[in-house]
Amino acid sequence: MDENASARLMRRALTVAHRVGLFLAMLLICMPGIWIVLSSLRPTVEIMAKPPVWIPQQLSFDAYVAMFSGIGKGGIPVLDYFRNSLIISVTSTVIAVAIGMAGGYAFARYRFRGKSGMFLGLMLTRTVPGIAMSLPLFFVYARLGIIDTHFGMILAYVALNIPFTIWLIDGFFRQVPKDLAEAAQIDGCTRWQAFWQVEFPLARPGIASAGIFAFLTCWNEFALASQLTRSVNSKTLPVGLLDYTAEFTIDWRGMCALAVVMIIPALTLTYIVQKHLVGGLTSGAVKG
Amino acid sequence: MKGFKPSAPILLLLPAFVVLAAVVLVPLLLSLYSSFTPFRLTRPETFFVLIGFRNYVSILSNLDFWYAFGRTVLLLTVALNLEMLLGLGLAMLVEKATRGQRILRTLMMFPMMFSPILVGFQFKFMFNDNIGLVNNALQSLGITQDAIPWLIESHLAFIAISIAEIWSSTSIFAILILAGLLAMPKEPIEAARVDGCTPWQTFRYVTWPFVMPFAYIAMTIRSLDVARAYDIVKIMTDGGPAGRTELLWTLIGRTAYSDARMGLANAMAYFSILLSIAFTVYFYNKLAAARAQIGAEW
Amino acid sequence: MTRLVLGISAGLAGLLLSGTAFSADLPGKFPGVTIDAKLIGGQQYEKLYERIPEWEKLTGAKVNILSKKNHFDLDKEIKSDIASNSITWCVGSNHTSFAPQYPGIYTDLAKLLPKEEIDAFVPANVAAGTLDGKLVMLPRAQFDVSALYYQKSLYQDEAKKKAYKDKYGEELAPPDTFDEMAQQAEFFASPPDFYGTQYAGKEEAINGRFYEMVIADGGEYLDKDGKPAFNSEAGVKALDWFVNLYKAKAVPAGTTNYLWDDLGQGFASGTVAINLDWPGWAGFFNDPKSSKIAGNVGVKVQPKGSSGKRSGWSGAHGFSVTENCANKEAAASLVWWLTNEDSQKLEAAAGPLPTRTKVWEWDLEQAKSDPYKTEVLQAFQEAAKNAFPVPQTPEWIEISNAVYPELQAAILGDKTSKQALDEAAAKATQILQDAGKL
Repeated sequence: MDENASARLMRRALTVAHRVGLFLAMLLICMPGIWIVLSSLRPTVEIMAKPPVWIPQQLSFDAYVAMFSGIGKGGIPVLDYFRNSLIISVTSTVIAVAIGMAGGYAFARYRFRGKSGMFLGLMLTRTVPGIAMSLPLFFVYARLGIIDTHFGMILAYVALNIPFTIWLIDGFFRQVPKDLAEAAQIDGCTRWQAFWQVEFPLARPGIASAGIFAFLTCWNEFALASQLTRSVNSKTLPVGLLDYTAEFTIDWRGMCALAVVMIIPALTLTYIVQKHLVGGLTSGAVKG
Repeated sequence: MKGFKPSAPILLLLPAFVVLAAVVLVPLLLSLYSSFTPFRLTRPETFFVLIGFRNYVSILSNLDFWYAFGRTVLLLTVALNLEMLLGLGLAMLVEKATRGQRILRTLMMFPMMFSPILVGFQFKFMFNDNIGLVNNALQSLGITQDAIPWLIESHLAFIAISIAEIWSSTSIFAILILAGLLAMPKEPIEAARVDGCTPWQTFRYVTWPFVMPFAYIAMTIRSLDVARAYDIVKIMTDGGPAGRTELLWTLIGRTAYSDARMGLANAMAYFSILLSIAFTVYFYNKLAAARAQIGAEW
Repeated sequence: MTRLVLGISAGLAGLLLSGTAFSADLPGKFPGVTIDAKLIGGQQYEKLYERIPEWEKLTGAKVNILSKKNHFDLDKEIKSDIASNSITWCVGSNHTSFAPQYPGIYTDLAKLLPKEEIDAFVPANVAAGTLDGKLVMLPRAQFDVSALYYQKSLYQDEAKKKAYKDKYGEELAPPDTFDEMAQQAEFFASPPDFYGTQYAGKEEAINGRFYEMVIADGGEYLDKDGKPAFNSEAGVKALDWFVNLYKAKAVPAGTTNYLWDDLGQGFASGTVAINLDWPGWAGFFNDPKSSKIAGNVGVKVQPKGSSGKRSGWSGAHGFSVTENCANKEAAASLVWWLTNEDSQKLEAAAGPLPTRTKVWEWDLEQAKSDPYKTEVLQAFQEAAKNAFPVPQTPEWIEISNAVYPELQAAILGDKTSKQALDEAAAKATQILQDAGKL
């Protein structure tokens, strides 16, 4: 009886500790973000105040109003940037995931010569830092005439994302027991059908996370974009952040406002897509 | 489709190879070539002058370069390890939560929505010694009376940069490890519990081996992408003051564009690539070992 | 300096030879021409760009803006273009500190525009835009030289006045020398809540300030043969000024990581007593929406160095026309348009200093009813008399990048001033040798 009670107490304590831990962790994660949101709503005098103003005195949407109010009135071509970012990120994510699925499947399901080396080689293409890559790539792009185009950016981002989409998806296909697909093939499915009907749904969490990664990488990438984009034709949101820096000054409030505009769609998308992280995990099948 | 028929895996991998060759390989060869020239951006004719290994000799004999190299290795080691530990902790906290999974998972990934340059600006402001959030908070709470020079003093600057880097990248570990935890079959844990294992033993001998490959995947992916930290450091300190936070990438960035000495910068870049390769291969081998341990086929 | 003089005279010679264009012809007619341009980006510049459609209407030409970035990013972009042989555009924003790096890509505007138009600019500004006898850029109304901003109330506070007199035996008044400035900065400082002064501590910013002080202390940055000479006695004295302020905690602890923005925000937050800064901030500091010390700002000409000289490291923004441009006359007309009297009035009205003599007069006239603006303009007009640009060598930025970490090392106490300067001079000499200049 006593043992039961202490065990229950122990479990309660653990639950509380877990809640507190979780809360603190989330607070740490979110605080800089909350600070950005607050900064976007407060006048500069208050953000930069000393002694600090902890409780916001004046909140306003001025920075957002200004952002959308057109060039010359404090605005930036945010809609153009947004459109560019969206087109470039979505297209390159879709392509990278498609190529990654093909590649990941090849690595997970086939045996062939030089596989290990080839895999590593693919990964290593990603080790080139953006800052070292930007100029040579610029040379090539300048020759091809695809500087400042959506196509050029999409191509670069697909290349940027292929290595780890292949990697991730490979890892998740590995988790899917081979027998399942074989069983399906015995039941009369073609390999293609077996893939789509059996293996794909099970590897979906992996594909979803690869997609999220790829999308967020594109959405936030700066080093290449700052070199390969130039005008509203292809400039993306991260490069647009610098519109709030003039020669030596930063409009921190404006930058925060644009940051919020950037973060909200990414957050929404993540919120929607993350359910697929578990969606594919019908526990029964994994147990098999 | 008769006649020559390439094998299925090659066909499946072909698109990846084509894209990577075009976007990575060609520029890479170009920069390899230019690392043997005195190429200056403002004097394009220098692109065609070969000077052998002189760039390499000059960086290898430069003490500042080696300091930057060492500092980069240190930052990577510290940041990657802490990120993995924190990511693991975070993933387990979130996995244990009974309610609000969707929100928690989204929040967990929150820092990933921040562009690295934004992270740089944000932490630069937060660590500002005079009007920064951190010092203001410490002073208001009465913890210190001084303006702590976060971005100036070598150790503090290293810590500040590490914090920014860790804040922005722990999510990647957390989400991958969480995916691993969720993909994990439940019986072994139940079996362990029935056998009377303590929670620690269950974690150590059942959960961890299963999750380890995911942790190493995350580790490898991060070590591939570490140069991302460049954007953060560039904004926060740009290697300064007095070179105290100089990393390979900030050195490369300044040499390449501001000094316009692209040939020299590319020689440095090749070194930094070697570094990334070393990290990647190391974790990759760990990953293979971890996989072998849980009996995954390789 | 000889190079400079040579440059001016050669520029003038160029002017005399070109007699084809007349002011009356400007802006001219260029139907069907398209001018590709790379402009400096930033909210404060948009007003000027609104005048572009007007020019398009008058001339029948079109302007296609390829990019708008700050000069650091623009510099990167232009260098990439030079390197890949893709300078296909016509008009570029330029800056006196960056201009010497791009030898040859920009054409001589003196040959494209009538002499009387160029004479209408302040001669020193035209000289700063002239490289090797070519007028490579026409300055806009964005001329930068520093003057001293201070919080007036500090100098009116009786208790402070008395304490200062007791301590130093002098009257407390806005400083006229760098030594006084340092002394007062230490007097006012009470870290971590209040600082005497501050300086931008990295990149070209600290190097430029140091350059300015070396001159004010009677030294040279580069000697007449172009050799680094800043590790002289005057150099050590100049650097010690920064070092001692840091040691005395009269400047914020983070000052070596500050750039202009941090200085501006810091002074506006009311936590700094004296601030040597650019004219662009004058409006910001006195605007209650952005500044806590609005109404309390005084402005004075920059202090004297130990040699009794005042010196003003200066920079100017401007526009250039490329050699590759297919229709240079049209491009020059656009550059003229963006820097003509109306454009400069438009820009100067918002705060920056003009570069045309007439607009200066107009500006002072306009400010008559506004005592603060008059004080600002008078201080800066005085400061501008001591102004000079950076050494016009293509290696300036590279030298800056090599020198500033050494200056920081001295400020932070890693090295003595002499050590740091010797090492910096060695590095700078190496750079000039590598470039074949020595």
